Amino acid sequence: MRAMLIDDEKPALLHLERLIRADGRLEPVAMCTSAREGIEWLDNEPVDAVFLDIGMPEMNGLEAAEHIQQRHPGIAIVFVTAYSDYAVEAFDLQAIDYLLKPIGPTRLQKAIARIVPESLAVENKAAKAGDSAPKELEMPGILMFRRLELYDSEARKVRPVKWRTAKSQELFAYLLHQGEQWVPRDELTDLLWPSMSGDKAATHLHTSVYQIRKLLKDGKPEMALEYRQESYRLLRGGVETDVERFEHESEKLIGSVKGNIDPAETLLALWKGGYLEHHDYPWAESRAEKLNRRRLRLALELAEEEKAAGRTDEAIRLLTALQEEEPYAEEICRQLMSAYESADNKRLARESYRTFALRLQEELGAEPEPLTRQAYERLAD
Amino acid sequence: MRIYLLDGDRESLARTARMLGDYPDVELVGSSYEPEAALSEALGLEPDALFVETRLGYISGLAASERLLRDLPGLRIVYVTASREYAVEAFEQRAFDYLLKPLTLERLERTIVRLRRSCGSVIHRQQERLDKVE
Repeated sequence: MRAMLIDDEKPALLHLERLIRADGRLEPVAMCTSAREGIEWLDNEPVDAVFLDIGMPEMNGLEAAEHIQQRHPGIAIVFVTAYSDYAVEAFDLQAIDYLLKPIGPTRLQKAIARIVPESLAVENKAAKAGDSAPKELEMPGILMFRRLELYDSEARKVRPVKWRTAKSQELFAYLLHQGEQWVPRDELTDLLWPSMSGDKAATHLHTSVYQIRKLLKDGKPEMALEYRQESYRLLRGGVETDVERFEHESEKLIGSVKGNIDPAETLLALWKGGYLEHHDYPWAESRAEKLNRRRLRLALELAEEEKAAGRTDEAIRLLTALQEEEPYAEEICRQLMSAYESADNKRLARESYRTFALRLQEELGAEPEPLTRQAYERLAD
Repeated sequence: MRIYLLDGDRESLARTARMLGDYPDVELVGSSYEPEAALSEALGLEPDALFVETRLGYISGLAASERLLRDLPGLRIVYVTASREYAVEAFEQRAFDYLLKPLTLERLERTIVRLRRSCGSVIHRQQERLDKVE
């Protein structure tokens, strides 16, 4: 529901707007500094409620209320004023409430409850919650982190798939990799059977396509493998892969994990390993690298926020696990030092640097970046 | 609609009662100038609205109606009073209306019209229920 705010004092207007937005049940659509301005606005765009100051030059709030009620009898009027003297007149004008400045959030919430029917308020809140929280976590129907698997959402577990040949599996993975795009038949045969003659490769492709269709019919009937003009495509029918969800959601979360710690944790829990890492598909490598980087950024940001929120243990746990997978990542090392330092454990902070430096030396013959070394030297002081 | 009237001033009580009596659809189910008696009586009668003065001597009209509201949350409170001082509190309590004495026909009329609208659907539902029972 929409609200108009009228007050000749700008700071008061801003304060009220902030409180109304914080409550969330009403949307402030017009902020006016005179009654005249508000009344003109209403003729073009109706609102459900008007928050009206009383002491204003030219036309005061009581006069304005009378005007508004004559022209738009359905609008709820709430007076907002520093004076208690006009409350009787407010009753005469059938105002829905009368708020004394300075207004606090609790009293304002009571006023809004009189305007917004409860059923609507619940709906609004539910809609709002839906915006900020991640879609409640049904697992994606197809898993591609670490290895390709189908997830049965009814049984709530991975459904084992018997692939007749490794090539059928790779074909399925490749078509998933391409989203719902059409993929030319030649591209598929060149990829999967590069050393075979055209005819022979085509026969193999047909067999594999047949196997996939059979598999989908049993396991994911909403999906379809289509063929048209020498091209194939895999239609999802709404089935989502964990990788797609990760890409999509991380886009929104990276840079704004602050305040979204839970969604970030939930999203990172999808990560079971690198993109199709178990299968070693060369065509998956570049996307796998991109996903690795993105996951690292998200996890580092999460660790940073955990640390900032005072949960240094949680930050250290996250970073240590991350370092096992990415042993040469400088930024993990730096954040780990800083997390130990926040936990008042300089000894472990220094030790984590020395281990890291030694590992680089022994395994790569390299030294930590200057930035990392400087962080360590600051610790030593 | 069923109204209960509470006013410590007998003269004013009689006057309001008379004015309410002019409305054929208003049933004055009870009235009293003594708060304690009024509260227990009104509790049993479950009126649609309580017309009450804000100054009742040892207890304020607001405190009195607050006690009734605990048991009758749907009760509409209409203050009929010589004092302006409780109007802001009346808003906080979500009173139905606040009328200043001397009560005028015109102002009372507006309250009654709003009460009809507010009680109308409820009365209609009650009637339907009664019809079904019969």
